[in-house]
Amino acid sequence: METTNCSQIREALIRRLNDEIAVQTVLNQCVFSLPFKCLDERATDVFVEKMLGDLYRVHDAGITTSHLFAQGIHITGHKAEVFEEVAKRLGVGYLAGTFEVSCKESEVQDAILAVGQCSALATFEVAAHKPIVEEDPVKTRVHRSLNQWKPDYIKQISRNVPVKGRKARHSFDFVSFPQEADLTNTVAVQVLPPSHSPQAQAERYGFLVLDTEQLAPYDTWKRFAIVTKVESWGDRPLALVRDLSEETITLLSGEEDKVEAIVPQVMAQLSKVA
Amino acid sequence: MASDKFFLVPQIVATKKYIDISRSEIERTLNDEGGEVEYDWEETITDEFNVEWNVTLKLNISCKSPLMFAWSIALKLHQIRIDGIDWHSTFCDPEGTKHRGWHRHRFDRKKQSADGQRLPTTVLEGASGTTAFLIRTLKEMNISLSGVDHGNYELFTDQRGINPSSE
Repeated sequence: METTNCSQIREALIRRLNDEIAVQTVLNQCVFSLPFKCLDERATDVFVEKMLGDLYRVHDAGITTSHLFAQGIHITGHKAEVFEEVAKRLGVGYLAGTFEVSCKESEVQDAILAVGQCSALATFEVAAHKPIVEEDPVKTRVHRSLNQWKPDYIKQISRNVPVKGRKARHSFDFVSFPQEADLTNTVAVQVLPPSHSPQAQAERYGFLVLDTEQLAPYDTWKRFAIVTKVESWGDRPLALVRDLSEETITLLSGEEDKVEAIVPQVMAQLSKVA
Repeated sequence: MASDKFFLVPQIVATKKYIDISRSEIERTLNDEGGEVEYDWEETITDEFNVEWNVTLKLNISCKSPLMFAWSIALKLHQIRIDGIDWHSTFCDPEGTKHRGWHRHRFDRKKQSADGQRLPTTVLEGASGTTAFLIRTLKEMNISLSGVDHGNYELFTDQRGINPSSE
């Protein structure tokens, strides 16, 4: 390769870097956008904050960690150790989710490049992040098994059935309506995930039941509760659900597929008029 | 074998979604969990042919940094971001125009990713603090929360859900 050509390429590269490096002032900090592409398809942002005297704090504001979390990539203890090691080798630190270093004015340029490099390197996990197609949600499984079970004596199985109580409107996830009400029971099915609070979930179910108690036509309906992620439920909320339902089944995380075998048996049993 | 439901993304993004949790509960969790929370829930989505589908969605919120510019919110399907709002000092929209600041991610079905498509948004202009961040971003992303805050049950119950004072 000719020397002149190398120089031209160098000049062009410098021009390119010059064009690509942007800066703006945000909250009294200089924010540099560097032409290092992260694997989540963004430019690298580096913040430079003037501290006392000749001291500067150069950091990524925790953007890398935050954007990894947004992708669903959690910084476990092991990953944090790797980030600390990467940062250490490049002369910076990784503290509380932020790549950062304190330095003198004469070292700021090196610090900006090092923090930028850490920020870009830390996104390597994005390359391995692929879609995980979960098995069907529990409600889909229940719906499917109800439709497969549906015997001749059932007229219709409805989804998201509104129920008007004395004080409020509620809904059951599924209700099976019989051909002849004298011969077969109507069965209301409710899927109960633990939500953010199993106690609150159980109490809301309790309100539905008590608000429709002794109120036609709901007073004759049999209630079938399907409690998911039962390991997250406490004894008390679970006891409340059991107390308010003719039948309750509980599923541990990972055994949701069992619901398709259980639902037809329970439905057949509850539909029978005693 | 389960098949992906990325074909539902336009409907998921446009549909009003509901998470059974209050804003106060999210703020408490952010406070307790070092500024990061993740929730998953099931949502019923109707496609263009009026067929109903149940999907499991996940919401990731990060407010870990003292600087709001580093905060992010993302809605995910099959563990992949399909919608979200965050900040970059510079970015290009799908037409190649340069912008600065807050933007909303748009899902690209071909790439199965919302990383590369960013549209500028003014939704967080002038906002400060977690409350404003949550109210404005969740509204923009069509996610509604429960108006009822059940408080912190853990204050009154042990891990089995039993209230010690009633025993």
